[in-house]
Amino acid sequence: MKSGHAIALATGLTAALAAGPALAQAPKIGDPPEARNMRLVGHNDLQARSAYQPTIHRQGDRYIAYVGHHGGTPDVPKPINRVTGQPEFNGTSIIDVTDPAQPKYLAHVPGLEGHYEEGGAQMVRVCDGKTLPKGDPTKTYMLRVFGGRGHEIWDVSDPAKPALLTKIIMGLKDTHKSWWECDTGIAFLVSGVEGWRVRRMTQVYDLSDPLKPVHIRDFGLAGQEPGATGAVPMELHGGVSTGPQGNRVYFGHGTNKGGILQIVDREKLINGPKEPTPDNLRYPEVSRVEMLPFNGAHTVFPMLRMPVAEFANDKDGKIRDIVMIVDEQIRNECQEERQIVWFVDVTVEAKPMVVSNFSVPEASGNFCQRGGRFGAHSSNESMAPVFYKKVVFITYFNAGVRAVDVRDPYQPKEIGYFIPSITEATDKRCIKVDGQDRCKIAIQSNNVETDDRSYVYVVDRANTGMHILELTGEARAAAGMQ
Amino acid sequence: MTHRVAQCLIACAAFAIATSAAPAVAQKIGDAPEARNMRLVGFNDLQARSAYQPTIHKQGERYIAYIGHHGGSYVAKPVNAINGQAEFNGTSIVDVTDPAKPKFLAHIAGAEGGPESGGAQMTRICDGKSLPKGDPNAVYLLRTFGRLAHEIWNVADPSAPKLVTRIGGDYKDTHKSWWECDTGIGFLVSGVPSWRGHRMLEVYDLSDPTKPVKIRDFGLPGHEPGATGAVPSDLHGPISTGTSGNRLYLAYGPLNGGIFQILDREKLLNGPKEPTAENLRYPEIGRLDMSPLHGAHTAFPLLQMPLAEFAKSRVGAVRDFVMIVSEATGRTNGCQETHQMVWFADVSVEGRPMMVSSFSVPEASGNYCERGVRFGAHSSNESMAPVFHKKLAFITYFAAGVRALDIRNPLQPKEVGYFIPSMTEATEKRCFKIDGQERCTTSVQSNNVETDDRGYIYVADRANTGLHILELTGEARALAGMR
Repeated sequence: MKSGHAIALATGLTAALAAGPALAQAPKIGDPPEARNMRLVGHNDLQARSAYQPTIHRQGDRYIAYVGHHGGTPDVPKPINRVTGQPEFNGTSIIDVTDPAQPKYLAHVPGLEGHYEEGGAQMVRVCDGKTLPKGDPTKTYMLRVFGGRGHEIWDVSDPAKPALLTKIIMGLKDTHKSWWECDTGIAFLVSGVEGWRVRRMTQVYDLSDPLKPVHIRDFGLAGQEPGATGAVPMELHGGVSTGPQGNRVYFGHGTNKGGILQIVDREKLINGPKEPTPDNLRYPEVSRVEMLPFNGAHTVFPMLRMPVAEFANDKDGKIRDIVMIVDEQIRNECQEERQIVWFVDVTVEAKPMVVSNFSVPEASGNFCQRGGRFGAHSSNESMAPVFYKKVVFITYFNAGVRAVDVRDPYQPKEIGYFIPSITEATDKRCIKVDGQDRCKIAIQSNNVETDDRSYVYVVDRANTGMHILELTGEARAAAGMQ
Repeated sequence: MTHRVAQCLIACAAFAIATSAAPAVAQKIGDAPEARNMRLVGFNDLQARSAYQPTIHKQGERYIAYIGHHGGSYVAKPVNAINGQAEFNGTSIVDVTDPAKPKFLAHIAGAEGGPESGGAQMTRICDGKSLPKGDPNAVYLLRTFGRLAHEIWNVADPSAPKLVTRIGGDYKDTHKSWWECDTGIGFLVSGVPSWRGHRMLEVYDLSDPTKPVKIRDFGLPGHEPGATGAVPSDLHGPISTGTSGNRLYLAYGPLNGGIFQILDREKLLNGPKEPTAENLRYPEIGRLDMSPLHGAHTAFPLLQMPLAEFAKSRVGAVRDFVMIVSEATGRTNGCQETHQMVWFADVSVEGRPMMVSSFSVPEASGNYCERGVRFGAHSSNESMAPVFHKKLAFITYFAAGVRALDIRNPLQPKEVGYFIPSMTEATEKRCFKIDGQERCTTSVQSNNVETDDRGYIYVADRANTGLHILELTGEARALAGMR
């Protein structure tokens, strides 16, 4: 053991010398995390399940993290749920993060059978019954997908004992990242309805009474509806609504290519003519940005009415409406165009325009060589005042999570990052080289969320678990925190 | 005099103290230029004429600068020191072979009229030996004559220019044209009276400068005679990549309502010429309607750029970009509008161009809004000489002088130098009404910029301060691969 270690060290040294100043960057178990202005507060291994969306919900005096999972691996399709001792298909993990230094794993709700994106229960949103117009005020509700098949609502009032309440719809072609307005109960579900020409479009539901879901309409880009002909427009990824007050829904179509940011009038979407004709699908659209065909629109996150300090002395145009677009990198090891982050000025809604971008310099970590995906994926979606319109967090797969100062959205700049250490649980990612699989192991920071206390929750696609972080130094100051 | 300086010193010190840490920002005569990584090499006062476009032409062994002028604001006919005559602002011709000692050779008078209506803003130069049917001994200057006409002059002897041809004479306006020296095709910015906007495109065959042949009129659908509805933004100017590139990049709406358009040059020249909406759409390959808050003054192609950042990506490492410069007016003096800046569009997929980044000078770095007149972008160099092309771009920013940008990664343009000339006795005030009150300010107004193949940078001033010839120093110089 000791001598092996020495050999490894020596080999490592030789490699480092041979490669010159740029280090051989493949991460190793035992390496410390790489970080700037961000610090690890706590960790949970999420039972080594591939994790997608974390949603943090303040539930009474507690903070509960609901984490959606992708399906398991061919090697471990049903990891053991240590709470029950049972092997279970990946679904939803529920963790008490009231003390972020000591997260407590409370429950796992199994999801759909299937590996990776075939199974699991990626998406999760949570609303309190007392907020929903017709909810039971004593209850807390979790909306989640069941693999690509359907949408479910669970009673998570006792987060250690989730109970299935409603199957909203089943038999879909796919599902994805939905949005649920807790104050109205209106949900914009990402569904693949039979007959529609895409895998993912929008189903608008009234879930104000979680026991009695009411379907309002199906929606998509004109050309996606049943019976349309010609090229099929790019499928939906997900939407973010600003509710009755803002009266806008921002939809991102296309994840890693053919991106479209669509701005929709929420009122017209909900109350306009519902038959899926091209005219009716066009009716609620305010405008759209068609992106470069080799970039996608995964998350579209509105940051409206931003006073831009740089323009403060200008008579006009000192306050701008901005939408941030995060592309999703899909292929491993830089086998496609780099997917990054874009900022769109939507001040004149009819003519939105990209004005700036953010990306992580590849050379800063030799990320193309580390294995797995390198590029952007998603952002926090919390609009809690602590970070909103000041700092955003972007998951960047093998480059971890990046903290970006967006106070001047024309000049976004990175102020911190955290790349978790890999562990024994971290799963391999492979590309084909000469027809053979060539695999590497690297962190794959997948999705991120923040809470109103300013903790940052990063979950790993390659089974490394959930890392709870906080800002330090100048990054903390940028958010106005002590 | 000494007394006054002493008085000022005391008063200025008191003023500086009163206004606390922020420096008194108004430029004063005698102040040193402000600069980073750029150095003044030479200067000519251009007879205190308001200057627009400098074009630098290598003419035999000499380098000659041809500088277009706006009409005068307060002095309609400055004296031409060469001949002692009072002349409307037109074109200055300056020998810059030795950039440290530029020699004013000649002034060709322009049209009568105020800053935008008079003068002769635009200049382009072609050698007769390059033009297919030119006189090989001639050198031709294409210029505007105020708003009325285009003219071609023989400037083979730049001290003694001779008028060759006049085109038009009844235009509503003219502006910044483009002339391909190898084919002779001129893309003239004209206001043909029957067209609806002030500025559109007239395509001319100027391969024989003595016999201009009109090819067609062109504009956005809606500009053509007889169209109805809102008139689209006026053309500002085109840049052609010639027969080999087969593209034209056009910028419409310099101040706001910017539109950037990519045309198929071949289809523009040889497509159906009747000005119907359909025929106007025919040569269009791509178009980007900007946020109406921002304008498109110059659209400068930066094609086939290898991006170091994407070098390890299997695809997408080489991209096509167009740099778009908006024009600031200050509107009523000092930032009384939306800030106008510089934009970069990725046109790798021509049918679907997208803006990807922007550049602006931080206002607080010079309290420019308080300096008065205009603060914001105006135009870029248009030379594609290898010394700077696709590496550095120079942007005139009015009160903030000229800015040197590292554009090797157009997704992340960054400033590497700047030069704000000192103002002189000649620097002329600009007055505007704010809430009924006239407010006048005086500041350098770096208007247009051009570079030559030796790496000199020529900045012309709108507020009559003259022509400053600059060079890069330090890291900015290294970046251009110059010693």
